[in-house]
Amino acid sequence: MNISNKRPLNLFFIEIIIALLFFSISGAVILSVFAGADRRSHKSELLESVMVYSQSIAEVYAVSGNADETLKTVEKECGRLDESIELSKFEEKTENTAGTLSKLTLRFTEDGEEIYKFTCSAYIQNGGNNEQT
Amino acid sequence: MKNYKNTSDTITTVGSMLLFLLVAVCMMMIIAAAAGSYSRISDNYETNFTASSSIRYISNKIKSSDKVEILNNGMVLENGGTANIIYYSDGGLYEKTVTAGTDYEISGGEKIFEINGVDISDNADYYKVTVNVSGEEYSALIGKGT
Amino acid sequence: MNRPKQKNAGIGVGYVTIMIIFATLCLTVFAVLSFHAAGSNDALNDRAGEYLKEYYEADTRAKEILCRLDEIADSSRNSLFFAESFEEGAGEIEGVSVKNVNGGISAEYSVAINERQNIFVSITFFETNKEYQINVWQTGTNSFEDEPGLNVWDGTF
Repeated sequence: MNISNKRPLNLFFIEIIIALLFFSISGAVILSVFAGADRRSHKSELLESVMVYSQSIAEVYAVSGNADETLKTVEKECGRLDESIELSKFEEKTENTAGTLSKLTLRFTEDGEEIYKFTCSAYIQNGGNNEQT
Repeated sequence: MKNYKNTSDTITTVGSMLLFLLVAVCMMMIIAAAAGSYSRISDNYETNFTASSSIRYISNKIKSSDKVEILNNGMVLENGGTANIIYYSDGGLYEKTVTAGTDYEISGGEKIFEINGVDISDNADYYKVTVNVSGEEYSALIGKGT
Repeated sequence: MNRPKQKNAGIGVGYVTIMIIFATLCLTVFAVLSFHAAGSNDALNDRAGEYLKEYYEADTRAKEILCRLDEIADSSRNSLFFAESFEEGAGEIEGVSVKNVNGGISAEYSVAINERQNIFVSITFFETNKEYQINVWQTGTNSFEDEPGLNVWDGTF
């Protein structure tokens, strides 16, 4: 009599333990998928802002041909990038008798990991302004 | 003895029901958290896509046009004999194509993106395009000429 | 008489399993959808990033040609025959075509951004003025020249 009364309760507890064990294992896998999705989403968000920022830099640099001045203008007009992003730049200038061709390479990193890298350029005449009709 | 057994049975029944309820509530909370996480990632995707696509669209249009004229809440991009009018109205970015040189009316266009506002300003060397998507502003500079 | 009552009083076997399986299924669906949304966003950004790189690489190549043409124009101004000297110099650059215009020479060339798009450039170099004039610096599709115009309403009935 005593044994038959305890039987359903014991079964319930055994079931709940097995179910929770199964859930914890599958939950760990699902959680890692969620973490991966969140990481990718964050990376995309950063890349997105970096690309818009890069385009603005390239467009302003094409007119000014001066990296520091360009970065100041873009920062003033478009705001600052996320604080976690580091921007390193490399400028290369080639001069000839008519003008100077400058190439600016930008490298955006977060925690040492490269997010985006691209090169833009500017051609500035010696003492001349480039006008478009 | 009978009373003691009945009380014991009641306690274990209520206990197991409470345990079941606790597990059920936990499951509901976990599912709600997962749904919230999905919703956040999905919204993020939607916002990013709309903002970047609209900026890229305007930028490409400017780059492939002969003449740009800034209007209130929009712009006219002339290319050959045609003119594209891109403007913001009624919660969206609209575009319409007309013959160049006609009256540029900001109405009757086709909706291309759902945004909350656009501001295009003409600075000396570049155009500044600011797009508002879900309350967040995204700005880009587009150069004139090269 | 008491036994059936006691059996029905607790939670039956199987309910928890069904609930856990349902919850796991829900979580799996949300996780897959989240990963897919993030992946789509990532792929879209990668493509946009690639295009941006391609565009500015082509833009740089176009500016390198402009730089060379400007140098040729600068040296041609010192020679007796500006047009002939410029044409000779520009002829050495692949893909550049030149034609005489009023007061100078117009140089035209295009640089490929990718398989479908090009940057079309048209610049006028003047014989007396050192400054050049950019007539066209535009992106367009490869069939840009052959594309028929859009049929739009010309305002008449």
